[in-house]
Amino acid sequence: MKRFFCFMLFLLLLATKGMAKNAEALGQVAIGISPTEKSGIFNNKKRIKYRLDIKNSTKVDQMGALYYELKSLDGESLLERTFDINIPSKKAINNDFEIPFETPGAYLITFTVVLNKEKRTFNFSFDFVTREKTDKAVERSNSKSSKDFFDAEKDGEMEGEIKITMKPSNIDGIFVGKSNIRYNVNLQNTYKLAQTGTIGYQIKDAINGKLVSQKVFDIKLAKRSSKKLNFSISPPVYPGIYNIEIAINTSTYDDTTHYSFGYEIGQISTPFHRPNDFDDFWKEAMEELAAVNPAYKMTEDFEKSTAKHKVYRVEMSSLADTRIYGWLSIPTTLLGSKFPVLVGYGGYHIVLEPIYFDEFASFMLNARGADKAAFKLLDPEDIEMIVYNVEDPKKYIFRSMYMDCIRAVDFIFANEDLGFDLKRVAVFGGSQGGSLSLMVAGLLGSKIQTCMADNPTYCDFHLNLAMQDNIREESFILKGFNSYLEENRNTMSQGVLLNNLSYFEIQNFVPKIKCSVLLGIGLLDPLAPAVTTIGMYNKLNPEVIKMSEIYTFPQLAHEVPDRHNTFKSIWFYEKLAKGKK
Amino acid sequence: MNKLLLSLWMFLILGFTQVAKADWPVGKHRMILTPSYTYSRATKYFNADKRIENNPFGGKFASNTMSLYGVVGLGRKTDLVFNVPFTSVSSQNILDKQTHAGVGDSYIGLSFHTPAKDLKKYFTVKLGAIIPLYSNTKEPYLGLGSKGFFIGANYSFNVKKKTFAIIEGIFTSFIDQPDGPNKLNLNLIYGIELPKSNLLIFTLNHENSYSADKTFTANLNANKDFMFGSAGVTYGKKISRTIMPSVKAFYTIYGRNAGQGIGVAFSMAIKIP
Repeated sequence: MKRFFCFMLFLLLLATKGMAKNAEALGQVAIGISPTEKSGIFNNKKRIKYRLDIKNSTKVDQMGALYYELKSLDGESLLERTFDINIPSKKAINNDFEIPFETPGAYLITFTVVLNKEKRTFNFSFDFVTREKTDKAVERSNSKSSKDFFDAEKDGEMEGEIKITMKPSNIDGIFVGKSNIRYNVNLQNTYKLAQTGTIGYQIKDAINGKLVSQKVFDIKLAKRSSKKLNFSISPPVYPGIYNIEIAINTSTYDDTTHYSFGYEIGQISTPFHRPNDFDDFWKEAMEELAAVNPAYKMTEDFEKSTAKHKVYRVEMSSLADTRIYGWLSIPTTLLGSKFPVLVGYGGYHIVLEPIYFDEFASFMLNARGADKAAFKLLDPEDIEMIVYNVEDPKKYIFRSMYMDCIRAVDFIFANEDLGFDLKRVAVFGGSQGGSLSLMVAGLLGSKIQTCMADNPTYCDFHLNLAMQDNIREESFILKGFNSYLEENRNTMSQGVLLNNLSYFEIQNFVPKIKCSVLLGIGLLDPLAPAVTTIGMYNKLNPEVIKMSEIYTFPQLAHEVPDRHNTFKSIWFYEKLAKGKK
Repeated sequence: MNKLLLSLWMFLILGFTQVAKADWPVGKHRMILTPSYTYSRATKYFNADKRIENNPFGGKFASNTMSLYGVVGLGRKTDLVFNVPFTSVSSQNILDKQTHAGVGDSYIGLSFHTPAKDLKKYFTVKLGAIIPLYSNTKEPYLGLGSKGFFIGANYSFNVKKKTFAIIEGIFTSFIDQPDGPNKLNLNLIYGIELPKSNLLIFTLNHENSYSADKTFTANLNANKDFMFGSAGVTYGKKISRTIMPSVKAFYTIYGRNAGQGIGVAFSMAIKIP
């Protein structure tokens, strides 16, 4: 009961103290714990004390807790304590703290320090002796009971882990209705020692980190054994994405793993941040693009061409007469007939190569910024692309990049004589490429037959920034914005930044999409948080949603599994089997 | 006797007119049509003791079958399948020659595909109706002349990269006559995708036909109890995005009350669109 209470207190402290308010800037948090007596022998005069050294070199305050557990050599828990820790930015603490324990004997003690994004565990053994028995204690440090522990380390008994695998009862991690949310948990103890301790979960809202529910269970694991558990969790009150933290703490091991699930995701509703002149802004950009002579230039690349595919490098001019290029790949079996075309867009600073489909032509566009080296020529000050000229939406690089993507489709429509079936043009991509696909589908409406996007970023900058405390990994997007705001704190507010970015938020484009959309998302994605992508998806026109599909992968972050790639092929075959009526 | 063997031979060849590939769903809004031509002949038969005997009086059986087999994707996991054969069968010996041509046993059914998690293995359940588009008024008969139904299941998967396999069992029952027959087919198919769009497929087939009527007679409908096993090999080559011609040779390895012969089939799988 005592252990349970202490562990609950520990979890509660974590929940209330939360994670850092701001992602860490450059710098590290150094954490160290050491006994004040190097011999590991304490007595009534030399009390049981340990020194805590933490140096916070980051630009953000570090908050969290120190938790320790004292055990006998046979694993019995004797004492547990939890303390708050708060270390301001660029500060350090060096404190000795005493373990209030006076019973002679040999013991094990485990310390766990949890700060914003840091977690460290330290294991020690020590002896507590009465004065007259000091010599004996020294002797005992070499004697059997104490020696067992060190021998265990020497023999590798302290080496191992407890592997946790957790699978939701619904493979997609999505739950609806009032039935409990169930997880099958498998614990595998690879230690040569039996493990006793606790396992607990905390469920938090992915947006605000609010604790929704938590529970702790006692566990006992025999050495080198496995155990299956079932978590049955009451459904949350509100639709959303929820993060689960599974904390395991046993005799020699503790760890926290993270999962996510969605609840009633069809009902997730996130606010629009659509500027009043959004349509005019993009109409003007499209008109500006239309005024640029594309000057298409197609050159066959004989090195990239194969017996089955002809590959062409296609160059064209886009906004500001910038030359961009892409790879057109046409299966030779399609030559002479009308065939569908897939237009692909790439991720952030990702240079695309040709893709060789059997039944589709493909055009893989390298918009401006794809080639990081080329971008640096435009950007001698080495400004991160995500904030390049963000202070002015009309100069922001993403305006030009978005128009580059439109130009790629212009190329297809301007070259029907190559065999392109203009009733079967699809757009696709992952990450930023997924966003660009959705944007193109939104701006070009009925020109696009289907759109496939994996983990699209930029869906909702506002929400992404607002929930950043609850995202475990700082994405390049957040890092770019946070650094930019920090460096321009006197000239740019977050509100103005977000207002500028709202012209580029993907969720503002999608209501005008007229084609089917296939969306694949990892629920653990820190770059494209699931709640932002699903919130975007729910803003599609209801008629579009009827012909669209969303697939979620609860154990993946910014990726989709192979099976989804297989499914995308099925999707394209299906959606491009017929042209638009 | 000749008619019996001929009719049993007909059972044997009708199953060979399709180009077998992994039994995956064809895809919504898509279709594969496979016209085929099959020629087969038998000069020997497996008797009731499973021994090979020459047909009496120098008997020879031959069949020429034109079929149209189709798979239509109704949904992502559901296909409509059908087969319509037009058959000409002839029975010839030193005394006589008889020929009969017409539309044979056609079938129409549905295939329901359940994918594995990786979408690369499928469990398929298929069922359908057999409709004889003829009546047995002239010998040699084109088939049993009985309505029937079939239900079957298969598991198709990639054994390793560029190969596929199908394990299949199909139960068929003819319902117009009280003594059936009922048939059980077991098929093993192993395919290898070779370079340059070539395809090689090996097929093993076993069929048992069960009936309460064990009488061994020349009458087609009166003799329904037989068994055979056969092997085949198919070579196909994809010549365009939509067309794959193939040729198949097959041979009866063992049997009981079944013709023993060889055949060859030409087919052209056409994917639409």
